[in-house]
Parts: sequence; C-alpha cells; structure tokens
Amino acid sequence: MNGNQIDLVALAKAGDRSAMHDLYERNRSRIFSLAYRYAGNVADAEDILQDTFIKAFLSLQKCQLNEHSYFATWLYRIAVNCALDQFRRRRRHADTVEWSEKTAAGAESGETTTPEGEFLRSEIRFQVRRGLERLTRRKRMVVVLRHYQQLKISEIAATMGCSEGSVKKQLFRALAQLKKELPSGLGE
Amino acid sequence: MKMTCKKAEGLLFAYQDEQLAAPEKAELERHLHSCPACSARLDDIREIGGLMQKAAAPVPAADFEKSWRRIAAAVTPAPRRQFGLLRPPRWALLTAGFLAFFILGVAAARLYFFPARTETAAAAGAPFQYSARDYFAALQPVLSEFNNAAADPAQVRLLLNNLRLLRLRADRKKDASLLRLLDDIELVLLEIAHLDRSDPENTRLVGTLIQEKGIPMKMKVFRFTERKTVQI
Repeated sequence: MNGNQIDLVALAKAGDRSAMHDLYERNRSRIFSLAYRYAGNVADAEDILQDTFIKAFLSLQKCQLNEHSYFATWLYRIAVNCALDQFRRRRRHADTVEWSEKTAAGAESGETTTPEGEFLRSEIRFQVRRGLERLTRRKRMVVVLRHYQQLKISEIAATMGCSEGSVKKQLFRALAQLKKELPSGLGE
Repeated sequence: MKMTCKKAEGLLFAYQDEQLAAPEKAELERHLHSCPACSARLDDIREIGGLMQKAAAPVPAADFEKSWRRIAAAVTPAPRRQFGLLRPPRWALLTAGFLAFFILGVAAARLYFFPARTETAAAAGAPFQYSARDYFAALQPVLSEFNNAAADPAQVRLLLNNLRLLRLRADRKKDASLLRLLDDIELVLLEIAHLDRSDPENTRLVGTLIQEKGIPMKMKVFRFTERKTVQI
C-alpha cells in the first residue's frame, strides 16, 4: 500500500480537488473498463464512470475510509452498483439492442485480422453478448467481473457484498445458461 | 478420505486461478480423473471462459477529461453567498421571528378587542366603532384634573359630543343604567366646561358633585362588566 495514496484519500476527504483528480486518474481506466464490459457502449460506460466517482466523492466524507487499498475495492463496489442501476434503467427503456449490433459489427475493435477471422470473431461476440443480455443483472455482473475483469472469487464477493459461495453458485448457473444458449462448436 | 463432488465443485475456480496448495490440487486432480461430471464442469468453465476472451473487444478510448469536468462540477459545493459570513446565527433568527410573531399577535389582538377611535370617520359620516370603555378611559383624566387651569377645553367639548352619540346608542338598546350614568356625566362635563377657576369654591362644588353622583365608581363597575363595543 502506497503512503502517497493514503494521503490522497485523506486529502480528498477534506475536499481537496487536486487529490480527487489524482484518485480519478489512477482508477478511471479500471472503472471505465468494467462499465464498458458491462454496459456494452461508450456512452453508458461514461455515465457509469461519472456516477461512480460522483457518488464516491460525495460519500467519501461520511464513510470511515482511510486506506487506498480499501478505496479501490470500495470504488469498484460503487461502480458495480451504478452499473446495475444503469442496467435496471436500460431494461425499463428496452434499449439494449444497440450494443449487440454495434459489437457484432466489430465497430470498436480496431484489430487487424483476415476478413474470415474478423467475421468469426464478430459472430462470437454477437452470440456471447446475446447470451449475456439474457442473464439476470447480477449473474451478468458476476460473469463480467470474472471473465473480463479477471477477478478472483474472493474479490468478486467483496465487490458485490456477498459470500464466496453465493458468487460460485451464480457463476455456475450463469455458465450453464450460457452454454445452453450459445451455439455448439462456436469457438472451434 | 475421498473428495466429494460438492467439495470439488467449490475448488474448481481456485484451481483455474492456480490458487490451490499442492496437496489439495493433487487430490482434486485425482477426483477429476475419476468423476466425469466434475471433469465436464471444469471443461465448461474453461470453454465459456475461452469464448468470453475471444469475444472481448478492446475497450475503446473514452473522453476522460469531459467526464472529469462533470464529476468536478457535481462534487463542488454551491458557492457561499456574498454575505455568508455576516449571516446571523440560527438562534438569533429564531428569536427575532418569535418576537415579530408575538408583537404582531399582540397588535392584532389589541385591534380586535379594543378598536381605535375614528372620529374623523364619524365626521365624514361613516359609521365608526366607539366603546363606552374607551369613552370612560378618556373621561377619567378629565374628571381628576378638572381643577387644573391647563385642562383642555377642546377635550371636554369632544367628550360632550361623543356622549350624545353614546346616549343615542344606549337609548336604542334601552340601557337605563347607562343612560342614567351618561346624564350624570353630561351634567358634570357642562359644569366643568363653564367652570370659573378663579373661585376655589366653584371647583370644590364640582368635586362634590362628581363624588355625590358616584361617577368614578360607576365607571369602574361599568368598565368591569361592559366589554362590548357600541356601534354608532
């Protein structure tokens, strides 16, 4: 744990704007990555990113946080909640189709592969994304945290505020559902 | 002791993360060799995980500066007002509010229960409120100071005029006791209006007349019992 980071959290708690900016710069990529993997598009991911830091800085003064390692976990937890809220709002507005089409077209990948390889990759993305969208919001979050953010089970449990057993159970169920819905031989 | 499927299932993710200690890992691997169900479950985890990795598009660039501007605007407290430092403490505001409420309440009650005299309105022909209580209150100093040379004759004339108005009202209400009192008061006021103060005997006689008629006592009794406003 870096002493400088502890100082940043303490300064941010006292309302220091530059300390807040430093904390934002250190954590923004991780939070944006999670938000993008979960929401599937840049606009929603930016909304989640902003909501996360606004909630964090506004509630920083009230909470008992004083160490950066806890700050990062705590921030991740706020981001997960913001993403789940965003998902709930999106579901209400039935506005989830855009992601799949965009991702299926590979519009944001920027990778250079053969046309056949790119087509296959787009197909996998489309199918996986469609499978993810059919999961409940918590199962989807568990899968994103595990397979995109590469978190360990204990870290997912800490982030989502539940037990490791509950995380494993949700992961098994989500993977079973995905396996059933994804076409066989997709990755071959 | 042989590992159960339930225990093996709980270790699969840790096995995938290579977090298991050597003996536990060896025990799990023995179980996986002998249990097709657990082995298939591990294959599923690996297969779906592999697909997810293949499906993962790189995270695009975000406009982090624009996001920061929004965050900074949202977490910045509202600016204090220019005279924020001169703002009085809360207890002072509460006390001032309570006092204002009290004063306004007293003033409203005073206007309601003791309406002001409006001679000017009466002079203009408009109806006005005149209470016998107020009349007696105005009469009291005239009766006690009648022998003073500086007494105001205009005040005595005004009392005589108002007395006639009060009498009209008492007459309409058939208030015999008030009418008798008003007669006595008129008599005394006429004596005071024409009093020759150069002769002390005259002053003494007026004082005797006031006491004989018992006007101060009657006024006190009337003010104690009569609280209604007389509309003229």
